[in-house]
Amino acid sequence: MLKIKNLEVSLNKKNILNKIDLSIKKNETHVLIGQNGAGKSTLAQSIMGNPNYLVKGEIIFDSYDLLKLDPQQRAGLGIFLSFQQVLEIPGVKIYDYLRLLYKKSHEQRLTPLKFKAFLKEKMDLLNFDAEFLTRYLNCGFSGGEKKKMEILQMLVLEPKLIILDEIDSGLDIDAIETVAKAINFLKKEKQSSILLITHYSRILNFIDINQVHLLDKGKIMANGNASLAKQIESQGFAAFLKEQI
Amino acid sequence: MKQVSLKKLNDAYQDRFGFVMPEKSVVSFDFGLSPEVIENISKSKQEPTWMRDFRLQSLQIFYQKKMPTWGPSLAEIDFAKIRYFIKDTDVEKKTWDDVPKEIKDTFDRLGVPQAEKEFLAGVKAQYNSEVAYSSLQAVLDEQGVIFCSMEEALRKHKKLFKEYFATLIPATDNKFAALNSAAWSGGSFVYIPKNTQVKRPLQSYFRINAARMGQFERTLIIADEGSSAQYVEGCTAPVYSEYSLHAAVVEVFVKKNARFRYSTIQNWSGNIYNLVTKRAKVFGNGVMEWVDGNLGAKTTMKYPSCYLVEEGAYGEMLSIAYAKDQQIQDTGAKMLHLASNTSSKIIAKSVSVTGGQSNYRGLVYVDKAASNCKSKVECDALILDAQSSTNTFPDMKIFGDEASVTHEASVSEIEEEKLFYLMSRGLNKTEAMTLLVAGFIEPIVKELPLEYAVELNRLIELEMEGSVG
Amino acid sequence: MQTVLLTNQQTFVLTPDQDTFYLLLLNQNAGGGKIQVDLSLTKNDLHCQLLFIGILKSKSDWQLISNIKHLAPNSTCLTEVYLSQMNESKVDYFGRIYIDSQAAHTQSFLKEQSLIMGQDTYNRSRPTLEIFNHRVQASHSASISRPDETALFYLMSRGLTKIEAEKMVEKAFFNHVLDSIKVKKARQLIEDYLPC
Repeated sequence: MLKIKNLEVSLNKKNILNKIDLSIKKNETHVLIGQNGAGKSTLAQSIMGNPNYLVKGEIIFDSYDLLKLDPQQRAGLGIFLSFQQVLEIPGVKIYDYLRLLYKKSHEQRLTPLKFKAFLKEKMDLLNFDAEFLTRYLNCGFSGGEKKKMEILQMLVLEPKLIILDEIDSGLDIDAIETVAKAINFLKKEKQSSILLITHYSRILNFIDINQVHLLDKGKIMANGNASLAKQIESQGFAAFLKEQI
Repeated sequence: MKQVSLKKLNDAYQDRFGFVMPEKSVVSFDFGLSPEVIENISKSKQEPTWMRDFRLQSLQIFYQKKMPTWGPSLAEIDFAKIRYFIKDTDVEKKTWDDVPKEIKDTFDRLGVPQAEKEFLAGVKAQYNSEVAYSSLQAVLDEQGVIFCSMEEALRKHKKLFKEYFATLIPATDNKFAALNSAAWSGGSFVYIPKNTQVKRPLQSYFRINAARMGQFERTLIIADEGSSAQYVEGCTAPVYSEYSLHAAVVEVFVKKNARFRYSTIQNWSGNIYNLVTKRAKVFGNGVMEWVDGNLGAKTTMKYPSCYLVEEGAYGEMLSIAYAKDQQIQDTGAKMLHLASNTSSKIIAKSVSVTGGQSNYRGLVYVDKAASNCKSKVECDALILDAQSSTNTFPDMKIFGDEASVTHEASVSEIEEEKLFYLMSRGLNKTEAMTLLVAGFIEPIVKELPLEYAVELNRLIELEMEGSVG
Repeated sequence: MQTVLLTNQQTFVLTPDQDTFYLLLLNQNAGGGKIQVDLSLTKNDLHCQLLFIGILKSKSDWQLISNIKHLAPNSTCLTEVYLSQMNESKVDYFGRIYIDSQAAHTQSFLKEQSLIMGQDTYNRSRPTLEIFNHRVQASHSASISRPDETALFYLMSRGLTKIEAEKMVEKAFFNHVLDSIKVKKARQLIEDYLPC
């Protein structure tokens, strides 16, 4: 479904990612781990089409050349990125915003009543109060609430490929479990593919994964299965990487 | 779905010259100003002598006063080419077929009912809203509320009228107030009796005859002690007007412990100079709120003000200006603290796009005798593209020692990251920008009556479709 | 960043070619005056600061003008005015920020704060923004107030007289400014200017 080949990404003339190859099939869950500054967010943002980055190479999604498409078109294909740094957008009511997102991503319209029911199901999954719908997008939200709001948008858009950029950082164990529940829900209902970017392996206790990739200084240094993540966590990045050389 | 290109709308309004004009012969003195024209206006309304004299004196003041030089250019206004004396029968000669297609399309997209469309397009003289209106009228009559045209008030409520008329905005105030004082026609007279609370907003356009819609409208509002009410003027649908100059005057008196809110949405056609003098006098513990939305007209100059004359008085101004295509929205507010323990708040937001220019001009004045006054001003401007601009000209004159005055203004563009965030969720560039602009003006839009807020949002959506992306 | 102390003149026309911190300390003994600073940023990528500090003596009459013109892209400017006013002093401040259509990616900010220490004062403030490029960030803020009542009460409850408390609050007002100044030379000049 997603094929990244020979990807090179630079920002302000500085090279961040070098010759990245990565493939994710339908309904697969991949994990990308690495230290701060390895380039994980850059990879995520480049797949989504952040205009600040200079990208060379190939990103093919369902036989579409993503590099020829702008972010809105990529979203239209069913790609979703939850941002690591979530912006506040004052004045935009969450309910209106979610309704618009649903309209953009689904052929079938829902009546207000049906949409409210659809929304309630998703909000219950995330333990969100109905009161949230009247608030402005991400304004005054705690770090954890912002992350959950990203997941709520994900549940409304029902994407095919979900890229989660450090969704678990700053969340307590209960919140991580809640987020995992939402991810598993989409995996089951929509056979969505997941690229989970994380520092910590705790979330991996709640989600089944197919592959783990280790990114270091802009290059993929190792590929493996779930046990790779556990290994790196127990050894620490530095020690593990030393071994690889 | 039909695409409406709103950029062409301004040109369409200029097509008025291509309209079929009535066969009726136009008497030559109908154009231009002169004492005779003013006398004719007064005579046709059968006004008392004092009003006729007032008009004639105002005309002399108009001749003497200079054009303001501190704001946008008004050089194109040709006083000689304006018709100051209009009769009802002149109006209903145009037909619906003559109305430009773009205007009709916009009405369709906004979901405006046919009867209303005809009224707004200047094809019908009176908005026929008997059913909706008569039930409101019954409630008002019961409460002793007076809500009628200025002409009727001059006839039926002489004493009250004369007591307040032109006492807050004299003809000498500025050149356009003088012009209005001489040639005024139409407008609302509102009197809310003591301790009376009027729940439903009083809407001006049910009352106004299209022919007199706006040109030299004069409004006088008195909210007596302890009363409260809301008045809504204008509408979001584009209003086509033949007249190139609208110089209105609005005087509002908010007596002790009374509360009044005056909301305006102005979306005049793009050939109009909209120059308005609006002022409220607020007595002890009174509250005056101006809510202003300026979307249309070629050039708007409007600075609603509050004279806070007794302790505890509060004045507030919330305004949105949207300037596109060479429009100039030159708006702001004036808060004069003339008594102690008064406070004021001004929140102004503007958006400039496709060559529009929006300016904020404001004044906060605290008199020497006014101690312990508070004032807060916030004005934010959003410029959407390279052709547009914005200026902010605030003025704070503080004599009182115990004043606490703050003013903040910012100018920004739509942030790339926010655009990217919304586009990555599937919105196209126009939709993302529209959402961000709507979010920017939301704090003010939410103060408008619901149906206006909804219409205003839809209108901004339409406007942006034509100009962005 | 170099520091330049603006003195001995009424009018200053500045066109820096490097990052500069301009400091203007109003003469505390003067009966007033008119001071105008025209700062034009004509080179790309400049970062400048303009700081006016004034303890306006009793009955003094001041007219202050700052005119910041951004004529080239990628520059930033921070203009700050901090004044404290004694009895019957008058000040009229006109602070303009102009951003030309060529000056993309400009960031310009103006902050004015006046602390009213005396009676019968007059303060007029006109911070204006004239913005002709849309890829900019510009803002201004102006505020005028008396010393905070709560702070005065606190100090008086510790045994200070009203006047001592007011002086202390005034000092705190200016110290707050000092805290934000990183440039050593400028700090020293300001410290010397403020009363002990």
